[in-house]
Amino acid sequence: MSVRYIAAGFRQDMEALFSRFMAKEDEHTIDDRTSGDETQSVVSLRFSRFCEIWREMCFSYVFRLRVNENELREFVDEIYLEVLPNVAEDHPLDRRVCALYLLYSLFQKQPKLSDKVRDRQKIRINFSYLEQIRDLIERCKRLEQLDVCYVWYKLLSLGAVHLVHVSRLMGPLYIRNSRVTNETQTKTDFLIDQFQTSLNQPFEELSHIHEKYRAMKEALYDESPQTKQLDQIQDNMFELSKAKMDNLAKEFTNTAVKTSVDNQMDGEEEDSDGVNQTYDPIGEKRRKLKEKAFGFGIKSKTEVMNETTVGHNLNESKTQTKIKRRGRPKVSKLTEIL
Amino acid sequence: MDRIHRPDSRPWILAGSVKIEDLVETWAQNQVMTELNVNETNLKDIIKNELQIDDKMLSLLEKDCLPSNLDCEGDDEELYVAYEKTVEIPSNVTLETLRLQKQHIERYATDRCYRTACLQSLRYRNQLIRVDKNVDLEVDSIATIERPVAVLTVQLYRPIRFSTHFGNTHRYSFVCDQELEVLSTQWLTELRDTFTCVSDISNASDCSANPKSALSQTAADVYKSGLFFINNIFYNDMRNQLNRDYSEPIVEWARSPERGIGPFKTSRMDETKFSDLEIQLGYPYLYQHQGDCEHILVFSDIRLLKPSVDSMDSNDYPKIVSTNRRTQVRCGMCNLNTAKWITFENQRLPENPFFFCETCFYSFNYDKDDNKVNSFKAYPYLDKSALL
Repeated sequence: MSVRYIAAGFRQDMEALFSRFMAKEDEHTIDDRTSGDETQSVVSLRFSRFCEIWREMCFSYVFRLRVNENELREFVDEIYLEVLPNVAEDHPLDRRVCALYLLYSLFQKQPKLSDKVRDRQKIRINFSYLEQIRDLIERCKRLEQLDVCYVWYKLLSLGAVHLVHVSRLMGPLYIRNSRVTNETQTKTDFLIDQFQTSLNQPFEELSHIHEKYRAMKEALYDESPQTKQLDQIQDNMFELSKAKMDNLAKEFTNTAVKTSVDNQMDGEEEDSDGVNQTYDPIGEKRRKLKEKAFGFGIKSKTEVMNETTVGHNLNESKTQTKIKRRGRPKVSKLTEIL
Repeated sequence: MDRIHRPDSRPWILAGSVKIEDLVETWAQNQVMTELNVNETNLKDIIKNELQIDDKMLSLLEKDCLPSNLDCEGDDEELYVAYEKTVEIPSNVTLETLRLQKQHIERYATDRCYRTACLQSLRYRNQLIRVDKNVDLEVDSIATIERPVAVLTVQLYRPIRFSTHFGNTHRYSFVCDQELEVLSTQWLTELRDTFTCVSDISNASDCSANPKSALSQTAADVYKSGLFFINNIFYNDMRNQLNRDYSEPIVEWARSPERGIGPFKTSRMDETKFSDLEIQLGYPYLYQHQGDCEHILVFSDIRLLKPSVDSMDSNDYPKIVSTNRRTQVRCGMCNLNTAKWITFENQRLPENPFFFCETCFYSFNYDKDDNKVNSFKAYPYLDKSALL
């Protein structure tokens, strides 16, 4: 039995927060603290702006809907590990700043656990991350981004940071009895979602503009159907394109692979410790035997053909398909490293 | 021992060992004290010095960075949900985390196997966190330290009953009995003295002949020897002259090249500090005492001591940070009271061993003149749930 990744969905929310924080703003006036005069400034790295985005997204709600305290504690550990790689030096400054603000906010808004546990879950920072944060603070000091520096020192003063040798806790106590899958959180799904969302709005705007243009033309001229055939753009072009995109996304999602955490961890760069969380060779063998015996349904030839086509097109993925034969149904297991 | 444990195939064992002393030295050379010594009393001075700002600017910063600026509507709502109830996400919240969590809870409610698998896969599923009595440090008394000190998290697991009988297919589950934090500046003997095992507290000899005058001497008072086996080195407890070297026959046995393991070294527990060790996080080491009571010992974490958060008094360490949830062992007769006696080789009972509470023990095993009925062995029993 495979279980869902405990922080499923957080990465998408985090990316959405980053995107909004990093979005270029129009030049606006902010009060300069030192002189009190109004000055012109672009792209604000202020914590107040971050707070505004946090409140709009109601980000505090990420801690909700947990079943018990154990789940909450583990969830908080995982989300810290999701955020930390974003303070790395190879990211843009605004992303790094947003990541530090996010760490601060997650720690501050972390719910208090039961009375038996007074302390909140700490942020585990290894030496590599500490150096990167130090670099970020120095850079922000030079740029006079005081909020960033204050937030870091405040985190230290609250005892929120544990300086550790390794980000994750080791030992047999922390291995899982079940296989963890990210089937609802593949990178492909997320990217497709983002791509679709980003194209939907321009399509709608273009469609709206085209409608207005069409209306203006009709008002000025009395066009015959033959004249309309000379149009370079069909009237329903945008709707058709949007529908095609939706269909493509659905098809791709249906044939998308289910990835397990161990396969993902091989390809991910964020895990600087290079530790694989799940491994159960005996459990894996038993699962394969069960799947072989009972199967998960018979797929049509078209679906199998599509899967093999997807496998050929994805050069970097390791795809294994088993073509269904008559008789005992077999499960096609697709693995992918994105 | 790597050939036996195969650490490369165990994801919970960190690749590569680390020498504690060298690690601390590396941190010290990189001026980590700057971060460690920041606390709530000196925060303002540090910020003013580092950022070259005045009080007015500092107060503006404090106001802008208050956590109350992050408050959202509905923040004070109930935290946990009962999976039997229907959960609704507020319409103004579009977080993917919540949407997936709702799906998870719905499946939780309907699929019992999934629910069991989820509960068993939780990292902290069986841990009981202990609260420090001295956790409220006075703000004025936060000291600063000159040199970093490493805090090692040590897990000691319950002994596993191993059977070599053919056909016995046991699935050994690792149950962490206690998790302790120990300073790198402490001796190995301090860890040994802090760890409490039931076999140490139990009685060493059969009390069936005269149970009412059970010996006040515990097994730990009689059998004081013990060892740690860490990184192919046996650290024996030789504080007492009568202590035995448990490692001697093993070292001798391993000398033969045909064994394929060893050679092993020996050292003394009371002459070795944790900073002298070279360890691998997650690797199963050994603590042995009472002759054959063996506990797996795992170092799960190394971190630096933080003055404003951790206790600076070395007497507070080793500190037990969590224990395992323990179920009470009840009397096999009445199934009501906690077991206080354990009997062996009792022909009148269906099970061996058998647990008794105080009342049932005397009423079943002794007649009105306090004479033993039939032959058996009896020892006082201390239930694990009564420990810690």
